[in-house]
Amino acid sequence: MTRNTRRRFVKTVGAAGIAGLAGCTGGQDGGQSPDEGAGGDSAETTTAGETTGSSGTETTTIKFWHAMGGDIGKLIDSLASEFEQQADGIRVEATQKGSYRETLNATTSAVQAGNPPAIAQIFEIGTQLAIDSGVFAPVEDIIPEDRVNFDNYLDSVLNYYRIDGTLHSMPFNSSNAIFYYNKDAFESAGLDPEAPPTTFQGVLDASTELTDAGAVDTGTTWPNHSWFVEQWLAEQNQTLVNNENGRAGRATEAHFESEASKTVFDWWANLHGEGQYLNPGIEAWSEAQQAFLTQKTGLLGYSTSSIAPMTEGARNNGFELGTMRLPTPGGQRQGVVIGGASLWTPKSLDSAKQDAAGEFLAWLTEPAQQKRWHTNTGYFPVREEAITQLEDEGFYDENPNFRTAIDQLRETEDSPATRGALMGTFTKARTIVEEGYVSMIQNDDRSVDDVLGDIDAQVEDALAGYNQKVN
Amino acid sequence: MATNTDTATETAPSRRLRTRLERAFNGDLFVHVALAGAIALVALPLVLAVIMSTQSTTEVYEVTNLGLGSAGLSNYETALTEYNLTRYMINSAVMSVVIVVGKVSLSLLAALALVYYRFPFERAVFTFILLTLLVPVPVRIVPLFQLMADLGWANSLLSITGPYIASATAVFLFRQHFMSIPESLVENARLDGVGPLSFLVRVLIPMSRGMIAGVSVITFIYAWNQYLWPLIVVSDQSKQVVQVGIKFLQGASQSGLTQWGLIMAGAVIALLPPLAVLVALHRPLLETFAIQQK
Amino acid sequence: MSDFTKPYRSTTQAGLLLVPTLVVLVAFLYYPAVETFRLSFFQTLLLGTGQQFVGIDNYVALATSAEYRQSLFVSVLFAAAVVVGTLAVSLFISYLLFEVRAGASGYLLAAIWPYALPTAVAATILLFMLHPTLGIVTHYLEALTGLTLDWFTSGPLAFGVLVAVAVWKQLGYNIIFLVAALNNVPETLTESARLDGVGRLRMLVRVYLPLISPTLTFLVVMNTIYAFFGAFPLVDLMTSGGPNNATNLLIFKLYRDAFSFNSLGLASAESTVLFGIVSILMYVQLRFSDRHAHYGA
Repeated sequence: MTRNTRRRFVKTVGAAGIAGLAGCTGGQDGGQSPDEGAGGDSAETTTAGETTGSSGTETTTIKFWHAMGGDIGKLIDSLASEFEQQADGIRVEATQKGSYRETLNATTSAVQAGNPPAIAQIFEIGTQLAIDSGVFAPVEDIIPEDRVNFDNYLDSVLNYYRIDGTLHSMPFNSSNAIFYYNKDAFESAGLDPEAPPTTFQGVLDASTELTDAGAVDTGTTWPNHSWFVEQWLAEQNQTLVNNENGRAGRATEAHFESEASKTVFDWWANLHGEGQYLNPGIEAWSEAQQAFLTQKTGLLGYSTSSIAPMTEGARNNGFELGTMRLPTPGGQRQGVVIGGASLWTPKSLDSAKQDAAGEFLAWLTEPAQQKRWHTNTGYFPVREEAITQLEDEGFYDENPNFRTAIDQLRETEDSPATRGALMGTFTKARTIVEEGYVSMIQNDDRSVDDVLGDIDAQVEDALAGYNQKVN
Repeated sequence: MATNTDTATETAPSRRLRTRLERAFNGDLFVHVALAGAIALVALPLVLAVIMSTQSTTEVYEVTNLGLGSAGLSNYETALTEYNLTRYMINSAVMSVVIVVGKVSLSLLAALALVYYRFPFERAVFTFILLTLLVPVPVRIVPLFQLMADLGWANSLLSITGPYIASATAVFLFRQHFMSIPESLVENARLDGVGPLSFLVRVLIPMSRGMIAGVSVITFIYAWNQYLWPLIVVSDQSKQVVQVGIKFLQGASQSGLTQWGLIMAGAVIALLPPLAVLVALHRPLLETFAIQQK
Repeated sequence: MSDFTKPYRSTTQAGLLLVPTLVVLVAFLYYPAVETFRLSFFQTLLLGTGQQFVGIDNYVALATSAEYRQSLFVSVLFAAAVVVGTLAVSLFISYLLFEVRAGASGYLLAAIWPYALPTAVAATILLFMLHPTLGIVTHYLEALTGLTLDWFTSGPLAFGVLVAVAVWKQLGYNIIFLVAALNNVPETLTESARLDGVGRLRMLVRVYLPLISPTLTFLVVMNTIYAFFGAFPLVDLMTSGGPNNATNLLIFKLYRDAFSFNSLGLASAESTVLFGIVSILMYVQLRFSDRHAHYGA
């Protein structure tokens, strides 16, 4: 909470006699109030984000809307305030605007209303849509050239976000899918805790061993999320849609009826049929986590974004956690696709705010900040240097769980499949896939092939509808 | 009315059963038992929420752990201080009170006109007001947001109260209530030449205490529970309302686990003000809050 | 409606009294509604961006969509179940509350609190408690009765859970009105029946229900509106419309099309159609009650 917003808040409700109370609750930042300066009153009516005069120097306030809650949200707050301390005359108001979806909607509404945030975090699958909406400026035009050398950024990250040679947004929180497993459960089931399964069949076998030994109720879980399917297709070097995954032209066809896709869904549906997959619900990240951490399952498919908190969570629940690479069919490994989100800047910003946003983005992706970001969460550092430095410092030797994710990323071979798909209707495609899986595992089960046909048709329908809109 | 023709065709055992059931249904004990049972079922989620709000994250996940937990009141403390729920509660309270006062005042005036004035297109005006019940909030959001920006209201108290200070339900309820007020009273007022506003203040409002209490409760709860609109239109976190604050709690995770104890504590805290309003106003509510029609 | 003598005649004054309400409604409800109607003839990208006029394409898309027809069917079924369920349960509880001699206030407050709980918070908490594999309620249900409640994959179960939760959430609102209505029935009307020793159940059906019929009508209308518009957070947080669209209510589909699938134009058309459907239902309900409701006194 900042002094400027508090002042406006107080002014708004002051008439109702609440001023005193608000003053009390805002006490923690009271120490800063003396330098509000005499110019404060004239700034009362300006909205957040305007340039306001304060004790001689120009201060530019930029709003940063994101979707990170809890510990990660707090980390962003502290990064923002650190930046303020070292930057001259820039204030960053970081606000969580709910989920990714809510952040995107709030941002678009604000852009249309003419009062946008300077930086908005948009999930990876909103990339095509954000470009098509035409309301954002490419990030490479905003960052001062001398501040950033993009050669130094991770290839797989740049490959995802660079479209037609232009980097539209600043890669920020990038992750991919890995599996976590319960080492203690492995041990008590007579499995080698240092040799987790690497294949689809291996997961089923390990699950059976785990449940037979009574170590857990169900072998494995992960959110019913299309993201995992996308990863498994990439590992088999299978694109999700045509036209090089929508990167050589608008996607028009979906590839859910491909052999690669059938392999994935056959396995996943069978796993459920065998009672070895606990269905936590559609996109139910926290339920899946709960099932694993409370030791109902021995394995968990999840994002690398939570390695740090999950390792600690396992310890609190009395077991040791290991990380393993995404299991694949027959050990085929083309690589994984970047997930997470990137940071976007609206076109309509005035130049002072645009410059400030550029400064902040450049600072945020410096190795020092990226190292902190990486080690506290599990999201990748987007800079190669950050990884090298951490290696030199011995971080990965001390924290082998982090190494799995980095290895998996580095081994990824560049191809249209591993660059990830671009679709304007990605959110809808994901919903179709997830609902499709539910109909595969219902009691009156329809065959996997049958449902995949439906999924293909529905996704292609959505693609056609979208393409017709943008053409 | 007391005759019992429809049971004539029933067989004897079924009649006996029926009589026994009826006798049971008519006893006082039945009333208490049935009430207690029904209410226990209705209240179960709250009881569980209160229990969980005192538990640590690990305890919440042990489904067999149904006792008060080791966290005590610390979840409440964390929610109120670290997650700023105190401030959000104040914001919500200001918003809700403004909406209640505004809505009750405007609706009383409108109902006064609808019931005690003869003017052209009365019925049409009333229908025009009622139809607004049918416009769902989610779709209105986009144009409304634009309008707020054009008015310069975005991010202000006005934006979260203005759109809600008129309502079809309140006008409807006051209108129905006014129509049930005995004509003789109206007649007296007319003979005495009392003006419309003093008629409202001196006659109608005192006679509508229960209805005003009822509308206030419903409006307060409705306002207090706003979520989607404040989330979109209020961009300063310090001006945000409590329901959005609870949403922030849901994102709070500790060592990878959602902090359900904290969420439950937040939910219980946010439930207190509307409950307090209910408790404070339940008497007039019970006694006079009814829809009558002449 | 009776013809009673209205004491005031000034059209200007009436206008002045109505102006505040009308201004607010026109600016904040009618204007956005008209804007929505306009948007229903456009297609859009992100929210309102990239608008293109497409005529009645959006309506044609709805008319030919099997998914939309199913959504319509599910919504009507849901509304019927919620209206009947809510009224039946709340009438039962209200009548008991009315009949109880001791502790009425305590019981009343205990019965209506869920109404004070925001729907979104209620949905979050209940999802946690009712989760098929992880929830505390499902755990005990299985432990005590052996029943598993896998409403994540079973359409009918998901629908049932949703109806139960929606009814539970709306009980308080109904009870408030019903208890007040029962309390308002003049003793003189019920005395003779009581003296005749009419049983409790028959008193309710024969004496009270006709006398509180205006309240019942009001509640039927409000519950219908709630079922069509207000149950959105429950679907959004608990079932996301699934499984197999079994809980894909119109209001949820509309919201998802607008905010997740970025088709605000289509969602606007859905909203216009929904407005039409609920208006017709409301008209029928009011017509029916005009003819059948018993207005006492």
